[in-house]
Amino acid sequence: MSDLVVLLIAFPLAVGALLLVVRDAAARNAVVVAACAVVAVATVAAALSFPNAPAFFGLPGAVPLGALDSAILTAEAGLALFVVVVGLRHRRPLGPAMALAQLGIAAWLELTGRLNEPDPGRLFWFDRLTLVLVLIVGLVGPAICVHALGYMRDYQRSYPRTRGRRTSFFGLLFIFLGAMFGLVTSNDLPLLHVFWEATTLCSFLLIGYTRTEETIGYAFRALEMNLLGGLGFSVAILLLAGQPGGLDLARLTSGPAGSAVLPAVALLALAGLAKSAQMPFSSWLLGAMHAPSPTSALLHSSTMVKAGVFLLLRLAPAMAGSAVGSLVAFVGLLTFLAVSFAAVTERNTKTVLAYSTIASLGLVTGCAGVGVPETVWVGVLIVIFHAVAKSLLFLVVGTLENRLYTKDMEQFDGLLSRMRRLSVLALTGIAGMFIAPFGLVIAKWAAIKAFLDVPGWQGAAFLLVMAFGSSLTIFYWGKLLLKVLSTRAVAAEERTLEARVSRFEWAAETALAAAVVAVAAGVGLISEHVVTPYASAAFHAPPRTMLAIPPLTIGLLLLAVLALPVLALWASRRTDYDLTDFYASGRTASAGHRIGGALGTTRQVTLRNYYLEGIVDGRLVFRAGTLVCGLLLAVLVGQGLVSLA
Amino acid sequence: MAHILLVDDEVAVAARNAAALEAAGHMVSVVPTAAAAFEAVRRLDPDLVVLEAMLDGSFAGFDLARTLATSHPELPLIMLTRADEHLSPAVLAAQDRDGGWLPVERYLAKPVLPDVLVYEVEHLLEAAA
Repeated sequence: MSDLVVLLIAFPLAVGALLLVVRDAAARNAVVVAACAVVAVATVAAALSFPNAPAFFGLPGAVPLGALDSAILTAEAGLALFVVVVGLRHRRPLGPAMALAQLGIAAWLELTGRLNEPDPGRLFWFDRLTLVLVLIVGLVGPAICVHALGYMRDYQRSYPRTRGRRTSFFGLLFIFLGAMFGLVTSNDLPLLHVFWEATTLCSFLLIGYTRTEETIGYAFRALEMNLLGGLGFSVAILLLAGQPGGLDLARLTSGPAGSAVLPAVALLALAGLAKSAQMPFSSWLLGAMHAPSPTSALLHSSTMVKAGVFLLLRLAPAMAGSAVGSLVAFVGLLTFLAVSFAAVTERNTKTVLAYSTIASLGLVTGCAGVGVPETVWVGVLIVIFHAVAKSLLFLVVGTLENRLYTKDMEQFDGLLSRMRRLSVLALTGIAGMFIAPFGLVIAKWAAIKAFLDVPGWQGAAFLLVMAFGSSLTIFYWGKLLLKVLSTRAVAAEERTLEARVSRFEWAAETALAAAVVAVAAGVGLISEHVVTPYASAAFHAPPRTMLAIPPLTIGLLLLAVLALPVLALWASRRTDYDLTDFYASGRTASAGHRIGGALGTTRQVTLRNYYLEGIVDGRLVFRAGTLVCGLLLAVLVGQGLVSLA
Repeated sequence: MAHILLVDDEVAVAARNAAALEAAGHMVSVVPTAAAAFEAVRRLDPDLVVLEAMLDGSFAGFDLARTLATSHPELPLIMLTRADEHLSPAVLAAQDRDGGWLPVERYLAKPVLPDVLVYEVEHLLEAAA
């Protein structure tokens, strides 16, 4: 087990370093495909060797702890130095200041010897939640890297002036995978912090890939918000150092936190909120959508943002019943509501996917904050469904973007007639996100059930937010779904668009679509063998059974997820369209589908989705949510300071 | 309002794109050959050029893009072309480079919906302003 985990961390890091110097496209393709195969096989091997009980272990062989401490400090110094250099070069002093503060804390703890010696046999922690995250990183991650081979070739061809380099792009993707494996397996908080900050830096560099003024601005926004969370993490380490067993994540989260460690738990939760783009930190994820689509799929939907909710789920037993837990729950659910509202008014497909990602993470955050076995059960299931289905959707939108040169939902009219195969893949992903009774819908139903049991007015408030927010998600998914499903008469040349999609992209998207179906089929097994035992172990009490699904129901679930793509395939065969002249029952006012309406108005006749124009300002809702959640967090921090003083 | 020069010898495509750009409030001039395009840039001083690579029965559009990029470095260029269907795998592989394989801002393979072209044009004009 320990050998495999170290391999999963070290191998992608080594491949990443190699890819930083491979300039030849064919050689890069070969290295990436081979490395992805190795990572996927090692991931499956690690999952199979999981001993069915939480395992703690150290580094294989006799590595002196002093060497590990120095390695952590060196890594912290390297990361901080990098932030200082880029921050000063672009005249953005905030990032360097926070990075130096973190380094200062790490160095002070190390030099004064206040850091508790970590237990050499408990550096890593592999339990069922680790298993879930390792499978996501190790199977979804490689699929996205393979997809990127095709996507980035077309991307570079259509933006000939971009200054980005694929050598650094693929190198960073693999370095990120290594850091992510380290993040989800670490039990020692200083070690976890190094990986945490490494993913932040990878995200920063990948968002700024094209190195235009615009993307550099978004990259810095993401960096600064995540460094703020990372600084909270550092201060938490500072507060926990010296507490007995304090830097051991498993011990810290083995039960409700005492008043001595609660401020540190709150700061760790702050880091989790920033990482998973919860309000008031949500705007960094919207800016991150300017990165190439594989980055959005890997870092900004399926893995890195999951690290935030992963930490929050870990902290759930420690936060349970405390003011910290309630605040985290409120922030998560308010974020869910506000971004679902904003998503309804948005027509850029990638932005809709980003809002929906923040919303799903908000639900998980809410579940972690409520902190009972049932909600944690829901949270883990959402993490699984979302990682698979949303990354598929991001990849499909990426492929569409390279063929149609647009992310505007309104330009996807007749997609099923124009790009049949891609539409079917998209429909599978959309079905995985919201079609009843599959996937997230089960999770949402279970969340509603769990919130009913939350005592007092809080439960009622959570329930209202949940019900109202969920109806909004149906609205925006429905709009996207119907655009993809629509058929129309298309010119012969439009049917050739799909022929140019690379086999890398087809392979990755087909694999992820199969994963969506597999997760649907296996939801009962996943619940029984992974999620329920995890929730029981975390809270020392089993969740009241949410899901005892008989095989027949599983079959019906599968039918539901497959019905949409299969029916779509059948519908797409139609080509005999009767094209008739435009007619609306009004007085034609001018060319271009304008008709005279009542009271002398002239109206444009359009066939398009409704974005609540003039009724709801999505950006305003977003800002209001950010403000409210920012105030809530200020209360959280203020309380912590008071309790410390 | 901006002045857009369309260089395309596919009459139907050029007309559709010109109509869409005009509907968006821009002034559009259309020329069918590389020589006419070079002359039009000099004479009309457009704000942006959309050009096809396949002109004059060969790949003259590629040379036109390079010439314009040298003579008018501030002029945004969009290549909107059917060339991909005619390029050999060897040429396509040679173009598989990071940046700088052609001095244009955007390289779009036909077919492209007129509305999408309008969006790209306006996005570039905004960036250039």
